[in-house]
Amino acid sequence: MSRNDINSVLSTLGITVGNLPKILVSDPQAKKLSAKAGDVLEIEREDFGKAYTYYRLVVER
Amino acid sequence: MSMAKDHEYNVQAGEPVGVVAAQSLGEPGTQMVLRTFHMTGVAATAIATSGLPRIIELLDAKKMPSSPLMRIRLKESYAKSFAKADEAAKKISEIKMSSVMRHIVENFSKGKILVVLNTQSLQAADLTARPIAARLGKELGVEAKVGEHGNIIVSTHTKNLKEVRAITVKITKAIVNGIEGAGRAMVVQDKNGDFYIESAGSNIEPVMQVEGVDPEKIYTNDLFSMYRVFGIEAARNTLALELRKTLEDQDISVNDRHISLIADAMTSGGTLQSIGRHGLVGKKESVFARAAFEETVKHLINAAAFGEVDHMRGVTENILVGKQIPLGTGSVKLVIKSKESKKK
Repeated sequence: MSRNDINSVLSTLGITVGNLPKILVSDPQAKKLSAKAGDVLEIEREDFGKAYTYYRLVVER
Repeated sequence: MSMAKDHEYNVQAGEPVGVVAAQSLGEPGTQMVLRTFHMTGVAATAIATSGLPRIIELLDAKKMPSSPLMRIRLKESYAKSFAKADEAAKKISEIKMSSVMRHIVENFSKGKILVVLNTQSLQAADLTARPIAARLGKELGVEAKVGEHGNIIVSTHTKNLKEVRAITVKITKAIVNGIEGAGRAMVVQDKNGDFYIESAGSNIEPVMQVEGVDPEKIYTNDLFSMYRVFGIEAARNTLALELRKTLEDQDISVNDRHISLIADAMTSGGTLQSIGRHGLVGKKESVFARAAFEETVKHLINAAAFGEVDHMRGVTENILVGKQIPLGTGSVKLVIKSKESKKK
């Protein structure tokens, strides 16, 4: 996600980046996307038939 | 559920969703089977751990489930034909030497070991002595040949009693077919007529390499394998799915969002965390909250030694000191503009 997108998501949710769920840089999916620490991944989830968007902050450890 | 109805059920800010989720899962938990019990005549490969033991296993984020299971999807060409699917299943299905062997004889003076195979169990497993000998030779670094009566003769190149015995032990423990830890694999047909493999074990990585297997579509009830191979999101989904399935098997209906919340909480740190002393509760920010849970003295002494600060932002610590908890109406902070307060 771009910086602007991240900021707009964070402001609508009323949180800071640190509050987001994390994903490790070493995670297979993070590697696949060659994500770097500090990036935010936008995840399209389908949870028990309900679709929604989830966010994870890429962290070193 | 329609979208409109979904919105009606949105929670208010300050709602203690975690406690509600815990209660919603905890209460039906009291009605569940407390013990693992066994059933006969179940078509699938093995009887899976069910009920409360399985729930505990999941919430504790155990490294290996007590009854692992894999569901292996095949590539298009393999999924359409039973023969091809069976061929792939044979490459996966784990068969141990001990199950096809009748007995084993050591000749210490010649440094040779004679393995007498059980022809009946060999036939049942659709195996012959030749590939077994080849595999033994490759994996143990010994010379293995097929002798008369279909027996296997292993030459060890040593006459040392201890070394020969060590090889004998290795032979009895060896795997003669399939993938270690994969368990017994069977071909199953889904409702679309496609064949896939179900296996009573879990070892994803080597299974992905097997010809005909779709490496992207392997499912296992082993959370850590899913986490290792497919990442945290896959592990979260597996966790939620397994919780849901276990509850459903017991005819207990818990709203999906409680399960989702628990799965999210356990995976929010990017790794799989258990609930309890070593996981979520043990890593709480507040000293008092941790001390109130378990190992009180340990946490207090450590906090004192390292000069930890408690910001009193959680529920437990505020109850402890008799303050209002930051939940519901308590989560609203009162702000008074200084000018207006002066007017009074």
